[in-house]
Amino acid sequence: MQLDIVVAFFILGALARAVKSNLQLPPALYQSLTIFLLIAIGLKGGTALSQHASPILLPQSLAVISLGIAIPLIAFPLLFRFGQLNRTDSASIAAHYGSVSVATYAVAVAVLESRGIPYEAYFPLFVVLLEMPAIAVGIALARQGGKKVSWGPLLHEMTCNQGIVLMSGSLIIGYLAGEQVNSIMPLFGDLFHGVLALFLLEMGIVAASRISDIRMAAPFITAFAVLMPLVGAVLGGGLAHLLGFTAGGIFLLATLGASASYIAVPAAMRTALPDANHGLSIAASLGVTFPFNVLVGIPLYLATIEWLSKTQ
Amino acid sequence: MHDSQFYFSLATGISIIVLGAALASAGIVDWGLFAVGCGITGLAMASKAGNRIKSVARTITARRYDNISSSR
Repeated sequence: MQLDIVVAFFILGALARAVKSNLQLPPALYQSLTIFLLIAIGLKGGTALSQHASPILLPQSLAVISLGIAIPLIAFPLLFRFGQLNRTDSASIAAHYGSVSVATYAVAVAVLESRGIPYEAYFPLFVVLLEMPAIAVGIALARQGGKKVSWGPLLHEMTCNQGIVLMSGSLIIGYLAGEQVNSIMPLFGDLFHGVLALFLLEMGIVAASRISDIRMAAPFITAFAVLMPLVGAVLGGGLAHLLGFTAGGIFLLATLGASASYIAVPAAMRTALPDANHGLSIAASLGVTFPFNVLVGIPLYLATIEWLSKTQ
Repeated sequence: MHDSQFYFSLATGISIIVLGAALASAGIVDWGLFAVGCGITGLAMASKAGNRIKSVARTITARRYDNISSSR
């Protein structure tokens, strides 16, 4: 299977870290690339939403939210019972896996576009919807152990974090702007793959540096961080199939189900569960799950879905 | 590493090996997933072996310390 060109930059970043190269992107550039990707994805989704808005989006959205609730409920007992992690850490990690990674989604979209596979272009709506339920479920699971949560700052973090504000804002702008979006698409459309390659270069460096954080829990956390994407992909793909999505849409929801958050949820968990081991959550989601999805998972989900659609 | 962690890792690794081998044999994907399964299984086994070696080393050290203490 041919390696996608943007994924090759991820490997380059990881290799650079492995050989202790001084390769480094300025933090401000990394932040700018993140903002660019969030706006580009949101705008594209908003434009598609304006063309495909229909009442069927409501049940689809509710079904997608239920996926975001189900995944942490599956992850939690695995972490708590088999992993022997405490309730707070289990709930925090489970929340990371119920939420989604925009970067993983961007890679999946890039793969679909490079192969010319059609998909439901309003998917950014589902990305936004999937960000939040898992945080609430994670906190509810932690609270079962008597943990008190101050909801004010948490609600603010859940609804007003950079990812949600930029992506939902761009989604609304794209939806309302109509044809006017074309005037800014040379920046946010044509440059998407190039910017994603730069972003993945940095992500490769960061992911490789996070692997060592797993330390003592290495075998269990590694196994969990590989198993959960597979479980999430099956759930997401199955749900998308039931909802009648195209093969591209099934692949995207499988990828969203498989991905784990490492930006929005960590920020929310720091506010809600300050005594959780945040390093472990990030190491699992960014050090193991993200590279697994980019290098093995995404080609696997796409090939399996293509094979299943051929055999039907 | 707890026993439950070890068995979970081992079961996950072996399941992924089987899945990866089945998909690769059918020509659906390459052997990447199979390799990941081998990695997880190997990591679990190595960690268990490491724990065992540490435990034996601790026992030997404790016995030597006891022998030295009793001979004094």
